[in-house]
Amino acid sequence: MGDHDAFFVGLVESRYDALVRSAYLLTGNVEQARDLVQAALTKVYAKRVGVRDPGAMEHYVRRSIVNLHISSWRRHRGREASVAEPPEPLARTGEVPESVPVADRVAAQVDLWRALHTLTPRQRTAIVLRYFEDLSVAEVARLMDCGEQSVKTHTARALAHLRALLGEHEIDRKKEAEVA
Amino acid sequence: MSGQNEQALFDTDPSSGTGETAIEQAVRATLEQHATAVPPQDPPAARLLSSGRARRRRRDALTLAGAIVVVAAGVVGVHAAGFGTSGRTTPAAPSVVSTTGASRPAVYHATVPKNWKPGTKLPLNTYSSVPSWVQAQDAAADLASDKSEGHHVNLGVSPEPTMCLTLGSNPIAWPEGYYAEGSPLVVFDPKGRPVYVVDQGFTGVDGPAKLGFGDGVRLLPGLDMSHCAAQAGSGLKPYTLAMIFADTPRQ
Repeated sequence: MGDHDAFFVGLVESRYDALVRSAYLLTGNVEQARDLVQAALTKVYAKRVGVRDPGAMEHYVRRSIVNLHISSWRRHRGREASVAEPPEPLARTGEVPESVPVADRVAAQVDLWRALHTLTPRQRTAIVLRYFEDLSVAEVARLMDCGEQSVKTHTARALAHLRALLGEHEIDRKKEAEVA
Repeated sequence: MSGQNEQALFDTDPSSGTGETAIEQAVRATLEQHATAVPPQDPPAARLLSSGRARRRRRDALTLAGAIVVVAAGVVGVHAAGFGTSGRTTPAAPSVVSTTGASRPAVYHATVPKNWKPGTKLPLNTYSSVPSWVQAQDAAADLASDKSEGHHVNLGVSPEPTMCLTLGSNPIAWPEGYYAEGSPLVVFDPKGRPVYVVDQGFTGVDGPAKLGFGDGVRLLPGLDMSHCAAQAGSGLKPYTLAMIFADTPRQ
């Protein structure tokens, strides 16, 4: 086993679960996330990425995951998906006692998880990379292969969409009252 | 409240100075909460290594095949360029076509500009372009020879190479839109598809066989050459292909 293979195996063994978690946040489906990660890892290995700079391999894997996810969405958009039960409308604010802290209250009273999946893939990718991976705008831009301004735009539009969907004005108002 | 959410709440506290809005805090908390819900799995390192190697082999094979195709295409392109030497400066995108010469067993590759358009139609109902390799003066001299034999020939108005030249001769009539190009001469239909090949040199000066009568050369569809066959049988020079056109600029 060469150095490249050894590094690849090391990367898989050490980062596989983290990559799957990140991919899961993009896809919303564990199996799809695993498929996505494995496809990205295979692709990166086949391209001999990281032969000269092993440190770059994870970056390319993450970038591949993002690209594959967006490509997959483009291929499958417009297709009908079978679900076991009809989706319920997203909950609105105001159904959880105000004694619950803001973050928990929002997360609990509204199905933010489902709301996140109403975002476009690029918006969701920007959100996941910014708020889960804690990457800077520049790092997100490199991973998404776009400009920093685009990342800011995607993020802002995603938050605006969620805000409109979940009625954050109400949340902010209550939060301010809570702080006061 | 989970530890993660506590951290999220701490970060969202305005006194902490992060400046995140409630929706950002909630998004962060939600993402972290759901990420931890993914059950861990033994990393399939061996399987990924195996599939990666297989993919790499396929990729390498395709790369090698692609390189061979590129090299082959380059060789063909050089070959075609050698035949199609012209004084034209506009590099029209060529399409390489292969035709079999009437008197040559080798495959001939002619470059045909996709955007070639015939110029103004001449009074004759036959026309083609002058192959770029033709020296107009020579062709005119050949045609003059035909004319001296009583053939109906329209000489070109300009003897300059690459300028128009009329090689007209009745009664061979080409359907409108057909043109000729290359060396040996290849005739194309209006859509640029090769129709048939005559030998290098102008028809009418090379003799019947060179024109391809009866030697396997495909004739223009709908072209009645019975009279030419009769001429060829008698050993006379066939009526010459015609044409004349200003060499239409490549656009």
